[in-house]
Amino acid sequence: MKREELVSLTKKELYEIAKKLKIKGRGRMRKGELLKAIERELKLIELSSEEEPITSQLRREEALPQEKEEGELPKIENEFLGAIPVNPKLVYTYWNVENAEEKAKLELIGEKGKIGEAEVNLNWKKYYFNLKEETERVKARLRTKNKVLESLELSAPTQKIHLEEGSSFLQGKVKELFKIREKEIKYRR
Amino acid sequence: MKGFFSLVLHHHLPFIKHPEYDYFYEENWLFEAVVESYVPLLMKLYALEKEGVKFKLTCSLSPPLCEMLRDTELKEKLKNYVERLITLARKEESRLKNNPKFLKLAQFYGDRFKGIKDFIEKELNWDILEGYRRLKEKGAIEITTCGATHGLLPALRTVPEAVITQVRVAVKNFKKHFGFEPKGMWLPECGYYPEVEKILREFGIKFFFLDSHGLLYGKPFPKYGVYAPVETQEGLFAFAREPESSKQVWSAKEGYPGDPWYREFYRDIGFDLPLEEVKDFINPDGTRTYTGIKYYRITGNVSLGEKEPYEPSKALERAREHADHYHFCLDKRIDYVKGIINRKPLIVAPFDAELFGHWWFEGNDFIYYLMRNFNKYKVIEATTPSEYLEREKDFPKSQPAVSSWGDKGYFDVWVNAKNDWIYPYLHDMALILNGIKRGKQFKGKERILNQMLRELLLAQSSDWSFLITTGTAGNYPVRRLKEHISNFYKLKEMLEGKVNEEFLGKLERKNSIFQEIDFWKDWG
Repeated sequence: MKREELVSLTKKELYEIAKKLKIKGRGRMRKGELLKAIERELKLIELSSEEEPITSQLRREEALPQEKEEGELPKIENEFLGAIPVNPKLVYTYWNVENAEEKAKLELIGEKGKIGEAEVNLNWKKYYFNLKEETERVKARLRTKNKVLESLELSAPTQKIHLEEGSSFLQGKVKELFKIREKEIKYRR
Repeated sequence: MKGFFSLVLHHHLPFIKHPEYDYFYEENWLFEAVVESYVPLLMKLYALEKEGVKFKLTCSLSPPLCEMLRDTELKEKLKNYVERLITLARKEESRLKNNPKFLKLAQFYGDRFKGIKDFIEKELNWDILEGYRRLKEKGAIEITTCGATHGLLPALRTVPEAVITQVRVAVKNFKKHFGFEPKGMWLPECGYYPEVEKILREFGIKFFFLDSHGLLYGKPFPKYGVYAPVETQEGLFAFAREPESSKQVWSAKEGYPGDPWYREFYRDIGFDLPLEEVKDFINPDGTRTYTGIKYYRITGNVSLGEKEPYEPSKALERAREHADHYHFCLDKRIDYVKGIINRKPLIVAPFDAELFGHWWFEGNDFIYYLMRNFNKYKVIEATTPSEYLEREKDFPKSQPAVSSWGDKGYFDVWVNAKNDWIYPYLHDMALILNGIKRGKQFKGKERILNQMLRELLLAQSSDWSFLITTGTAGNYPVRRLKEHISNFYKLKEMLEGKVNEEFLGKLERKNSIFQEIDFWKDWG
């Protein structure tokens, strides 16, 4: 049976095929999942007639959900404003305040004063600041109608090389070192 | 002797324990890592010991990993996993009895799994950590700790008590497992900001690791670059990754692991064979999974279907050649750098331990041969941070820069539009614990408070935000986060209202990390 034919079937019909193919977990599958599982099984049947071990192009599929997903997330209780520098050019700010319908003024403050400003709706609950210039320290301030919230002031990443006299070593090598970084491919789960 | 080499293997997996299931897909990450990476590494290191080869390296063992490796229920499941592997390999031997080429491979796996089981049983008595502890006792390895649940400290510092707790709980847990205080810490994801050092110092940590740019953007630029640690303002020592020596091992394309003779990870009989043959060895719901038995080699830039059969002896030969090549390159690099800095360079090469064995099947053989090369040629000395700091002196003073070893070098992987919803919750939960600690009105409710702290710590794990970004673990990380967050708020309700014993008991058994935890002492 070809894919086009399978696609046109109802969920119930697909289920019947899955049953014949003894596909486990079929009772819990949605239509798309049934379709995928059937295609996979048919492909395997086709392949298994070849000389062993089988040559297969089939790749790992995600595990089926074994637990029901939890429902809505709980309500956040405290009022706060947080700021996390993400990289030398980006700061993530987030907040939780009452009267979320209001508009408010969000400011970003660097070591030399204000470096960013935005009018925000409080119900956005977050805002990303793109920085024009790098800053070494950063904090956020949120001004609503009747209060002012501040985040902690944190150190932020900068990409400056602080050469001093006598530290000429690797001056030219630094760039080369960073080119290497960009090419890296990491193995992670 | 011209210079030093310090191999650092960071061992970490998130805490995953599902006593409510006989089989739980994500639990297998631990069993795979044990069978493919940790035990093969220990076996190679034990072999070096027996052969009288002197070697030195550093193993960072994260607290969640230590806790899982010592968990009774997970140990039982690990035993079953190993038994199942042996059974599968024997089954393959009979299936392939008329196919000489592949029969040999099936036997290779059968013997390998049996050898691994014997080692765990006879040498380690099913206590994997004991293997590391013994090597440490003999002075062959240095063991360092990590954040309590691998929380990305620069993202948790918006409530400073959260960072203090990650460090305190980690150090305490390390002592529980190994019986001594750790000197070094692998900052989770190498995530660093200068103010963290005060906290590290308070808990007796003397050194930590950074990615290269953490040092190179330091103030001032350290005069030996990444080729010596720096002493910071707080009097700690920061070691940084040397980029070139990492690339050869990390990179899938240019690096050693992509060699055509090495084993192909993605061709596994869990996917290759008819369902009937493997159904007892994959997910019981019928979803195919990796089994660990893989018959093909990388071959070259060809599709998975065109891979050639694996030849273990040839692959082993390549691992030896790569160890020779690596040693040769280190030697050249050290010569070159030494000429510039006029000092014996130190090359620090940190990796995820799971790269070796799990992803790069022959990786632990590579380490074995490399250590033999150091021993044989005696031009480069393998060392550990503590040993190096004792022997060498004159470290440049510099303040390292905010950084991580993640993609792009900062925190984009863990803080982005896909996963940034986590942080307001982590912030709120930390503020709630601050309030409880100040108020003291819940004295006597330690069971609930301790579990609240466990749930917050588990939610802080950098693995969840990482996996949400990469999308490689489906919905699991989101489910885990939602679970810990909602558990925390439910427990909080129980502080003032009725205690649901059944719920509390269930959480204590499932999210059982850090049995030693004491909310009043450990938080903040």
